[in-house]
Amino acid sequence: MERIQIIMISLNTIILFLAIISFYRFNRLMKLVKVRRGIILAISGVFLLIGYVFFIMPWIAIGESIPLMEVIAYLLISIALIILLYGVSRIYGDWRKAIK
Amino acid sequence: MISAEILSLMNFALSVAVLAIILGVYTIYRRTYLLWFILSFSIVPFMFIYGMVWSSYGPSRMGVIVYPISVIIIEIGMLIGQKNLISSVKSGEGEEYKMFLRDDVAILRTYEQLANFFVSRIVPLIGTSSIKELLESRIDKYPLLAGTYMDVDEHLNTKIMEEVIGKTKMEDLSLAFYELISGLVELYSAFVPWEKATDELRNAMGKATENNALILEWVTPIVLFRTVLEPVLRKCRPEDIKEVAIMVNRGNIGIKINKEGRIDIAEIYGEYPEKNRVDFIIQKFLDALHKIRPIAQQSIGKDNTNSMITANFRKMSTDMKERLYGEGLIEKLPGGILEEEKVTLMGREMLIKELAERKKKLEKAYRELAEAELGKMKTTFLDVVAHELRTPLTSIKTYVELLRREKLGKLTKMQKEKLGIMANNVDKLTNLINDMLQIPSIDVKELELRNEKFSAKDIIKEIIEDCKELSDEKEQTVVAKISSTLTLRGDKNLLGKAIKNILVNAIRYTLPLGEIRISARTDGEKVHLKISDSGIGIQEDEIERIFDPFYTGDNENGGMGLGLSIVKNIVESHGGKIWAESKADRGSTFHVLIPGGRK
Repeated sequence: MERIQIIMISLNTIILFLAIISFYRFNRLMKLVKVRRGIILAISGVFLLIGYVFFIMPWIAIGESIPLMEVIAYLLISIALIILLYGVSRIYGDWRKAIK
Repeated sequence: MISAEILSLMNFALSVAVLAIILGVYTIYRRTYLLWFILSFSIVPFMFIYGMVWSSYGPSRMGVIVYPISVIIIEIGMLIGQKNLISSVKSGEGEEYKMFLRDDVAILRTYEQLANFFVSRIVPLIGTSSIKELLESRIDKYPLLAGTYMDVDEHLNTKIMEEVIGKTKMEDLSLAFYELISGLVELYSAFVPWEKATDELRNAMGKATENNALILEWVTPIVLFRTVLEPVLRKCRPEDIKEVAIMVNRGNIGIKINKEGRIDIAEIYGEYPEKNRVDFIIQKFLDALHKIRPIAQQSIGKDNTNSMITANFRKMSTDMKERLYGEGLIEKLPGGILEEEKVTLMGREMLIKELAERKKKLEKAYRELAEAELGKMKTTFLDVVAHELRTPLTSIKTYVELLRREKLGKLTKMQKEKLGIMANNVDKLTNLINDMLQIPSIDVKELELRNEKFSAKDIIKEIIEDCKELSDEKEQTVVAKISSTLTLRGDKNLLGKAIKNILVNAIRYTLPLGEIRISARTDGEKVHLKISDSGIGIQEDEIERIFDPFYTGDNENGGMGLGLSIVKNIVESHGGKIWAESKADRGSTFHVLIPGGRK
């Protein structure tokens, strides 16, 4: 196994660990109060994660990039960002309306 | 096919747009958690710029490490943001979460779950037709429920209501759902024993409050009136229920009771305050309890009533109990209800109080012990110093006397004079040391005081005789007016020394030709001795301190300030008391209370 792969595995283990904690916190938040736009943010998060996995997987598996997977990763991240943009715009809209 | 560079550029633009919107939100509500989300998300555009540069100039293999590291930083920022958001929601700080996190939607969903809890029990028994009829009748009364319908899964669905929920008052929503759920419980109780329906209602409420704490203050009236009070009322005789109903329905408690004992709480929702809702409900409940309980006690017996109410309270969910008890419900409940809980609560409070008191006592004892230790050290030190000084002084005195008497050779007149001064000073020093030795010896001998009974007149007479030389020197008059029947009780030697000390002081501070008066009278089981002089008196601010060891004030008599301290020691070791009254230039009066009486 190459050095880059070992580094990637170690760093992504930390990412995974932090993601689990974040998921746990999100659940706690959901238990406290229902999030109106929470589902939009959650879907965007899922797409972002999948995009990231597509981007990073070749580096973990073979120690270098695969151009096609990189394009798919960027595409997934674009979708995630569009959903996120929609979600935060709605939240912004809600809040603007609320303070008027 | 779209290239990675173009996508990267697009993602960069999107991430900047997202960041700009979050910043916009932050400008509306400046909250710490939003700042954390902004900080973590600001790394995203940077990642895409880095990606573009990376692919244009040829990637270095290790350069990819930047991505996971950036993601770690983003995740940490997100976690901190989430933590802050949770704290903000929990503390209820800031109203903004009400827009972002819709508690009204959450409450609506909980009401939906509550209704469906009973729907799922009724449908197997009679199908959906009765429920549909009930729903229609409720929609007629509360148009708000129009968005509620029976879906294909035979469940009540409220999704449409979410669209209008923002425009609805929570009081109206709760009232509408209270009526709907009450109707469902009534329907259900037609097929199962009423007690079972009540138990199910209680359990459903408990589960609902566990899932969504926001619902608690809205379902508290249902729990308190329908599951705690109503079961007791339903057990009463019909005529008693009628009596209670007349009394309660005329009052302004906000509840209505029908002939079967069913409590209708619809009016309460109309009076719901903006704040302190649980407290408001507790008050309403207590008002109702005070009206219903006496009649219930007559009808089903005192013990039965109290034990039923207590049992109903105990069946409530833990969340509900904690909230209600936390608002002080237990303390306000009349005697006989939740007695064990009261005892536990009081026991806890008493224990805390007792622990605090014990701590105070312990601290006081520790302080006293430290002071006592210090006092003991002082007296030991004085004892040692005084003994060490007295031995060489005795030797000096002997040789001075030998020299003065010319046993060691002839002396000139001046030498004799100087030796006389030396002898006087040695005497003074010896007296002072003797005084110093008195302090520790009194403390030590406290338990060895002799208990003699002696005439007050005789001892005063002896003391005046002893001091005659001193008073004659200043041509002063010492007058004693003491009844011969008066007796003192204690250590004659020590008490004599104490009185003499006061008298010597009086003589010292009284001007020539002055007068000193000594009088005594009985005061209960004690003798009150008064020694008054016409001397220079004591300043007001010094009176409190004259009995302190080594306090000399402004006196020019060269004493060490031990005399009065010794007197106090002697008097107090006899269980007596000493104090002084004085006015500058008008003389002083020393009052001494010593054990004694009449013959």
